[in-house]
Amino acid sequence: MNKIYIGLTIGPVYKTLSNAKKTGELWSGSYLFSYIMREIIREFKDKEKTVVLPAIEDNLFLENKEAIYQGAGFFPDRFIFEKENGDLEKLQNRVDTVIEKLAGKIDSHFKIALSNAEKKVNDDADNLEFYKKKVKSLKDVQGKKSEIENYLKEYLQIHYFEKEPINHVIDELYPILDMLELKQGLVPREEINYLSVFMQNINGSFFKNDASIKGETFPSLPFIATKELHKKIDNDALFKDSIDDTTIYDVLEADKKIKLKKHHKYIAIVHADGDSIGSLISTLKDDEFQPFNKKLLDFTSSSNEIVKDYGGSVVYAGGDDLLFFAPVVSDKGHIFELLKSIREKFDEKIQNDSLSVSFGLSISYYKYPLNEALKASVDALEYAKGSGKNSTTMKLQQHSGQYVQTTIKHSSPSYEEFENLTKEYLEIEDEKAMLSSFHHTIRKFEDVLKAIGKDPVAVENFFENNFNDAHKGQYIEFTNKLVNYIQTIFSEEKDEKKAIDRLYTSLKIIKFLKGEEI
Amino acid sequence: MKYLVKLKPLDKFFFGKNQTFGDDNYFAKSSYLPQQTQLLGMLRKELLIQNGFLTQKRRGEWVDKSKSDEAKRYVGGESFKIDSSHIDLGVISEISPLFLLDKDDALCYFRAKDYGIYLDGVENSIPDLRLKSDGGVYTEKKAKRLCPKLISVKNEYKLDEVFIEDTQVGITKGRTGATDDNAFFKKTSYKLDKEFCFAFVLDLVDKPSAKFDSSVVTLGGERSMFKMEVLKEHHLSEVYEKKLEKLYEKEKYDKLILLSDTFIQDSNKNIFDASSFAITDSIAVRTIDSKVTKWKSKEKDMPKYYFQKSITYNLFKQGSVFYKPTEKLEKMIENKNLQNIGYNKYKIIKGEKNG
Repeated sequence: MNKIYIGLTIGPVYKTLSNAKKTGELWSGSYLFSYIMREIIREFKDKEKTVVLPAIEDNLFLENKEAIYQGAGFFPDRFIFEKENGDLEKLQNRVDTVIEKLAGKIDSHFKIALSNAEKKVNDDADNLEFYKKKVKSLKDVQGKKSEIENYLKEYLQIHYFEKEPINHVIDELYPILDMLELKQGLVPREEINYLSVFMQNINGSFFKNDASIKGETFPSLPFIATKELHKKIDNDALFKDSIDDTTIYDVLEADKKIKLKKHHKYIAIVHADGDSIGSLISTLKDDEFQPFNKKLLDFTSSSNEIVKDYGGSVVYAGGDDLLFFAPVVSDKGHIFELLKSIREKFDEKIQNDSLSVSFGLSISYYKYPLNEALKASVDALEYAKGSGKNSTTMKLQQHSGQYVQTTIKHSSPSYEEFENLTKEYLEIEDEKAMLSSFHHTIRKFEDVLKAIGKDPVAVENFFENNFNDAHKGQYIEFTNKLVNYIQTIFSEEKDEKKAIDRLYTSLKIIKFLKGEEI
Repeated sequence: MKYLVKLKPLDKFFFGKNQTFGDDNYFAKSSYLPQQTQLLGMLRKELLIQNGFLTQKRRGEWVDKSKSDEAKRYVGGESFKIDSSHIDLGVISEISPLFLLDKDDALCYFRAKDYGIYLDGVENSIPDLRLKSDGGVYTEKKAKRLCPKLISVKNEYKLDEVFIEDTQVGITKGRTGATDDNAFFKKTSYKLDKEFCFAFVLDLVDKPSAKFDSSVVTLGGERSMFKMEVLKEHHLSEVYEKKLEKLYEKEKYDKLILLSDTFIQDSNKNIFDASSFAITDSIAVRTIDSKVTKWKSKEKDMPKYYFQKSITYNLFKQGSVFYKPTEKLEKMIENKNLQNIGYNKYKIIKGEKNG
C-alpha cells in the first residue's frame, strides 16, 4: 500500500512582515510563524524518521535559557510528514490548542506590558509621551483573551491536506501548498489589531525569553548600523526603545570621539537562499530527507552565529533561507566578507558542488520604510536567482532616491577581485578619496575605457597619466588590483555598456563602504 | 438618469493607502485607484457646489444652517460606513466601480487574480491549478512570471504602461530655513498615460432633479485634480456591466469574480466553505467618520464637529475569484448599501461544466 502524506502551511508571512515598521516588529512577526510551527510539530516530533520536512531534532524544542538555537526562528512555514491513522484529527486539535495557548500568553503579556508602561510614565519623564501612548494602546487590549483567540483564528491562514502521491512526495505536495496559499482569508472588521499591538510591545515578552534573546531591546536599525562605533559610545541608554532614531544620531554627531560616516546611517538587509535545493530534495528517498534537512539546519544555525559575531541580527533562519540585518561595515569587516563567510559555511555543511547559495542585498537609509527595504532585498534575491544563481544582487538605495544595482556571479573571477579590492581600499588610511576622483571620471572617459578595458597595460597607463596618486604610497597595491578588476570585468562582459555599468556600480559601493560621498 | 462620468487627471495624482506620512513614514506610494468612498465624497461635494448648497470662503467650507435640510435631500446626512445597513445617499442612486477607458473609449479593467492559470479540478478540497501557457502544474515560482495587466476586449496593457510612476523626493526646512536632514520624504504618485482616463457610471434619481455638469474636481486626501466630464445618455452607461463580463474568459467551472473590493461580514470558514476553492487578496480600508460633540458657549450647548478615521475594514480585493460558488456565497456578498456606491459588485462567469 502506498504511503499517504499530510502537508501543512501557515501564513500570511509576507503580509505580516510588510506591516512591520521597526526591526522588533519584523523579528516578532517572523518569529510568530516559527513559534506556531514548532508548537504544532511538537505533538509529532516522535515521528522524526517519517517527517519529510523540516528538520526535527530535540534541541529545536528547547526553550528559554536551555535553547541551543537562539535568537531567531528556525522553523519554516511548511510541514510535510507521513500520515498514520488519526493524524488529521490530531493535527486539527493541535492547531486549535496552539492558537488557544498563544492567545492566553499574549493576553498575559499585555497585562505585564501595561504595568511596565505605567511605571515608566511615572519614572521616565524624558519619554513621557512615548509611554503615555503605549499605556493608551495597551489599556484597550486588557482582558481580551477570547477576542485575541478569535482574531488569531481569522488572521492566521493555516491549511492542510492529505494525499497519496503517485510519484515523489515533494513534487506532488509542495505545489498543492503553493495553491492553498492563494486562498487568503481576512479579518473583516478590525477594531483592534491584536497582533500589531503585540508586535509593538515585544520587549520583555515570552517571545524574547523563548528565543533566548539577551537584553531588553531587539536591536534597532541605528544600533545595528553603528555597530562599528559601539566601543566608543559611553551612553548605555542611547538605543532604548523610547528614544527615536533621529535623536540617536544627533547624540552621536555631537560626540567628538565619534566619526560618523555616511554608511552608519544605512542598513544592509540580506535574503539568502539555497539554489536548486528543491530540485535536489525531489530526488531524495524517504530515509534521506531528515539527514539532508539537518545539514540545512546546521548551515542556517551556523550562519546565525556568523551574522551575530559580525554584528548583525538574524530575523529568520529556517530551511535553506536566511533573513538578517547587518551593518554595512562592522569592526569585524565589511558586508561582502560576511556574505563570503556564509557561502563558505554553506559549502562546508552541505558538501554538494551542484548546490550553491544566492543573496539579495539591499542597502538603504535607516529611515527608508522597512517593508520597502525588505521588498528590495527579496526582489534582489529573485534577480540573483534569475541571473543564473550562485550570485549576489546588490542594490544601494540612496537617501536622495537614486539607486544603483548590480549582480555578480560568485564563481566569476571578478567577484573575488571585487572582494579583494574592497578589503584593500578600506584598509587605506588616507582620506584623499582617490577612488572618488576615478569614479566621477568613469562616465567622462567611458569611451576610452570601453576601448582599452581588456588591456591591462593600457589601463595602467591610463591611471598613470590621469591620476596623480595612482602609483604612490598606500595606493600602489590598490591601483594594481583596480587595473586587474577593470580588465577582468571587460573580459567577462561582452556588452561594453554593461561592463561600464557594473564597474561604476561596484566602485560606488566600495566608496560607500569607505564612507566617501557618493 | 444615468451618466458616464470621465475623470482625466490634470497632472499626477495620489491616492493614499493605509500607511501614509502620518504614520511616521517618510515614504508614501499611491494606489492605482481611489476607494469608492473617495468617489462618493467627491460626488457629494460636487453636488453641493453645483446645486448652491456649499458656502466656500477662505476660512473654510460649510453648508449654511438654513440650507441644511435641503442639502441633505441631495447628498444624505451622514458619513458613509462600510458596515452600515443603510446610508441615505440623497440623489445618488448608484455608483459603478471605477474603470478605465482607453483611446478608443474601450472599457479597460484589471485582470482577475487567476490570470494565466485555470482550475482543472478539486478533489477532497485539494485544488488542481494549471498554467494556461503549458498546462503544467501551478507553482509559486512559475507564477512569478505572470504579470498583472489591464485588459479591454481587444487589448491588454502592462500596468506600468498606463500608470507611470512619478517619484518626488522632498525636503522640509526648519525654522531657520536650513534643510532638516532627517526630514526628507519620498512620495510616489502616478501619471495616467494620456490615452487613458478613469470613468464610472453614475445613476441619479429624477426627483429632486440635481444639477450635475462637467467640472474640475479634487479626489482623495491629497486633493489630486481631475477634469470631470459628465456625459448624459452615453451608451456605455447602459452596457458597461455586460462589457465588464466579456473581459473574463469562460473556463471549466463556474467562477465568481469580484468586480470591485468586497466586504463580507462572516468568518473565513463560512466564506470559503461556500465555494470549492478561491484565489483571493485583501485590502484594508478606513473611512473618515464625522463626529459631533458639544461645548458650552454662554450657557448654550454648541455643536463641535470633528473628523476621525474609522476602524479598519478588510475587504476582498477586486479580481478575487471563487470557483464553483454557491448561492450562499452570493447572499454573503449581496449588500445593497455597499453595492450602491460600487463595492461588492461581482459577476458569475458560467463554466463549461459543473460539479
